[in-house]
Amino acid sequence: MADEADEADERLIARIVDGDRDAFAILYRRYRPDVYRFAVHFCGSSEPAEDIVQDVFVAVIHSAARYRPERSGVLPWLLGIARNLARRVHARTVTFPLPADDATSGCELAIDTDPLAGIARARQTRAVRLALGELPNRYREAIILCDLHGLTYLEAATALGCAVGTVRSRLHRGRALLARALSDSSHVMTARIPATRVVL
Amino acid sequence: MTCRQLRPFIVDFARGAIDAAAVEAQLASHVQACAACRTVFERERMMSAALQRVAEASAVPPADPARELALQSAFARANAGWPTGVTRAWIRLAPVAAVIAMVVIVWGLKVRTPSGLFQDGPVTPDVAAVQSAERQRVKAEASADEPDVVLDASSFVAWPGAASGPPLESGTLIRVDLPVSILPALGFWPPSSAGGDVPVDILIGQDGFARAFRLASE
Repeated sequence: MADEADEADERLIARIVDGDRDAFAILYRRYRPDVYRFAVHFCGSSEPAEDIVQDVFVAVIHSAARYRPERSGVLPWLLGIARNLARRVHARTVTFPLPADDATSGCELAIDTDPLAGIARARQTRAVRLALGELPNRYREAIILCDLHGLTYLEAATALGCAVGTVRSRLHRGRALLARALSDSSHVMTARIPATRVVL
Repeated sequence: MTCRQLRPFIVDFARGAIDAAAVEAQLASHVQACAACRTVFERERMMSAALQRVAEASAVPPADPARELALQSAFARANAGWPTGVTRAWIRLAPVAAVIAMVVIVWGLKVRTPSGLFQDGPVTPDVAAVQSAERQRVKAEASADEPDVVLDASSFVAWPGAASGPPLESGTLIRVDLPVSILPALGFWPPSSAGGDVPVDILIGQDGFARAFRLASE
């Protein structure tokens, strides 16, 4: 079982192409969280994310033979599919709701040694997520892939189907836009909150 | 290095994405010395930290068993009966083989074959029936004030199975090139050394079926 968990992605894809159901299950469990996170970040909502994850793996079922290991790793390939699907979903979405579930819950604050800082971080995270959702697609997806998922420029370029230099310039531009949006909307980038709103 | 030269790399430096150690060292020393670049660097570092928190704050719910089951079913359906390995390679070659076979057949016949060309049944040349049919046809053509066509009906041989069809009322004569290898099926036995194509006149009846044929001279 441990061997299966450590099995190389490329080998898994080869087994999937040969119709190995177990290999597909392993791939699904291995990369579902990444694809789900990408979809949530891109769409700004968990509601379409599950559908996007489903569609990504349906695409894997039908297109696994098209995967080329020499071009990219499996994760950039999957995120590239997710990006195309998320763009379509996002284009149809009128509203842009924030994720209802957030790990910065009350439980986390309860054990935080510095409640003020915890609240500030939660506000900041929410503000960054909101501002990220308002960025144009091309900048948002570069930030999500490089800064949130930690892909290299090369991997992100493969997922986005563009040049490495394009990814780099979009990332820099996107971060600049994000910083401007946060400062324009008076969202905090530091741990400053009004003292009157905090009841200890 | 100047601020202007280093500024494009500050974002990557703040993200820890500088590959070259030498460039990273230059950036580090410059940021230490330059207050303006240090401000930019700190801002980018805070941005990276904020984005990192966004990434960490994204909770992933456990997989829905129903969805996973649906995917597994879809996978099973997509691969149902799908062979693997060598068999799959042969299946991939099947379209190519089909095209090659089609080309060979078309090349062998060279013309569109009239229906009835490959009718089953014994080869029974029925010269009398063909002569009768041909007389009727010549008579019909003459009564229609068409140019007279004189055919030597005795040179025709009934097409295999033509006798079982309806009486010949009218017909069309076409000339095609048939491979010599087909002739034995029509009752001709060419020398074993013969090869290539031979010109043949085929009498096509009013119903579109071949009725008789004869070897034509070039």
